[in-house]
Amino acid sequence: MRGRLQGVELIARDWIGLMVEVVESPNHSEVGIKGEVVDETQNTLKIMTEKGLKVVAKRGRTFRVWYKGKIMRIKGDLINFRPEDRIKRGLMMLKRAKGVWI
Amino acid sequence: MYDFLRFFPENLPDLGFKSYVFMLEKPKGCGIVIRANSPEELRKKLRGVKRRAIVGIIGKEAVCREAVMRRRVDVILDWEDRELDYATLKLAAEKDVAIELSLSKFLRTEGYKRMHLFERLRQEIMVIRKFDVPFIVTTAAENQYELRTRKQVETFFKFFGAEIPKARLYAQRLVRRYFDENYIMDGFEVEQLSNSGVV
Repeated sequence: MRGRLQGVELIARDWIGLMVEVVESPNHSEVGIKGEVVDETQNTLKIMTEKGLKVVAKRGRTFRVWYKGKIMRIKGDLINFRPEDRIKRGLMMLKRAKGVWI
Repeated sequence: MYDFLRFFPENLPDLGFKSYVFMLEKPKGCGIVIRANSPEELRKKLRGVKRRAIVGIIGKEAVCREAVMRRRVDVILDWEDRELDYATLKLAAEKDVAIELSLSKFLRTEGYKRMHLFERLRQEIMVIRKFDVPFIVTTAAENQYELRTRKQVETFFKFFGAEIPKARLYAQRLVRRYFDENYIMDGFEVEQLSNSGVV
């Protein structure tokens, strides 16, 4: 995928190894957690920060992700699936979304 | 707040809108209007739409019901004899197709017919609120005499129970979907290009 949609596959792949930052959360102490994703479950991301391993829930949070030279902003609700299911479900979401041509 | 117009004005006065979307049948506006008399005609015309633009549909009840199930359709445009039943509105909420509520049809009609339009609007808004259907409030002006200010449009539909902040959000989303480079889908957008070499 080129141009505008480059990196759109982010919601259809696992996030282990990606650099993420929590930018919005109902829990204020979670905002600003930044680091590399070392593990992922259906509902949580395990982020290795400078202060150690942090477990952050996906639902209700917004993440900033560095991916393919771009900084993406993504709501955790969109990735609230098991990593192995995300390829199927993420692609389905992209296909159903209006204005996205993949 | 965006206004959706059906004509291309030469000089537009400041009416309080952020910007305008020109829904035209000729392919020069930022939106395309498709008129169809039957679902078959609609499908045929939709296949011909190649350009990235907001696609609006004008048609009768069967056409509207077919239109909400088409991925290429973004908005069901408003006109005097539009009929949307309960099932179509529910389906529009599921399929993320916006419903246009326009002011100009009330300006063009009078008397008994206008009263019926008020009644239909009230019922549509009730179902829209129930299923959280995407909707936009516009003037849908076909000439300069049907143009109204943003405040007039919003106050009119607010009186009938429409949630105006939501209508603004849906209109903005509709425009960003095609004309914002950084917007991908709801809750997913590009902030900027990264300077660091992080993968």
